[in-house]
Amino acid sequence: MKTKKDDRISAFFYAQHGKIGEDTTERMEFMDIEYNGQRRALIVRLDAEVDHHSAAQIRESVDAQFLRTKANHIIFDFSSLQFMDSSGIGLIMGRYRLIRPLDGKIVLAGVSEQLDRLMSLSGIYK
Amino acid sequence: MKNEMRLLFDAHSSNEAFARTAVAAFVMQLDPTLEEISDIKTALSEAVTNAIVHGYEEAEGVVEVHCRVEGRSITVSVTDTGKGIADIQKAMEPLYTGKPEAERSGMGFTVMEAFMDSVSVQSILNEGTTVTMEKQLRAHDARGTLFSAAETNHSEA
Repeated sequence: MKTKKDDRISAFFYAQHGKIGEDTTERMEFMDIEYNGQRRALIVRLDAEVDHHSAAQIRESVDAQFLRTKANHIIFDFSSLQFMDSSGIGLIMGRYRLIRPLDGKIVLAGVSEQLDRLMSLSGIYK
Repeated sequence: MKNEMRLLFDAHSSNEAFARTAVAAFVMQLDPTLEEISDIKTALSEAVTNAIVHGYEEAEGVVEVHCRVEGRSITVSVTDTGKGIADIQKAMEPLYTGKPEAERSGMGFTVMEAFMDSVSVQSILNEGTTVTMEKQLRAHDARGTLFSAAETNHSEA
């Protein structure tokens, strides 16, 4: 049986040795996930209310694309975000743990003043 | 003027958005700022999520949200009849999570405390938990613009 850990290890392997994947865009009702092969970056545009309920679906989709594309970096674009609570912080921290072994970066874009307060509170910028 | 409402709903995660929207709609009668509405929605979302994830551990249950406005002050309480909290002080510590495997940030109570004026927790083990939060909304002047005594702006006079 393939475990989550196996997936992470193979993601690490492919990111180091795999070929650059093709650029793709996956559109969903509540977000777009774009892959830029040149930059090895997943761009996640959230047009959603991120709470405990939706975070589970978002996590599943982002991780599936992350493993498929062998991305090194994840860019979260919050410019169309409608709402986020601390479940979103958990989501970002979880993805950070995923890319940390790849020396990858998490980039947060389109952060509103309100969202910035939430992020600052969590110490996520450190 | 005093006004109250109560919501009872099943502890399904899909009702988190419903609870936020309903409370926001109720609070609209005080003509809050966008920031105030966002603060209340965020704090409420944390409390309702805690009830569903920790109180009922994502099993069946009913969550009650009680909302009361009086003057420009709003009190919101979220009650579950779930498992209760053994150590409230510990549960309220930043970054502490009772479910580390679930990718929870452990920031729920910290967010409630930051976005509301006061937060209090009453809990009895195996009986349930009530989280009560208060927030004083900023006053309006006669022209409908916002001001607060602490930050009166004279530069535009």
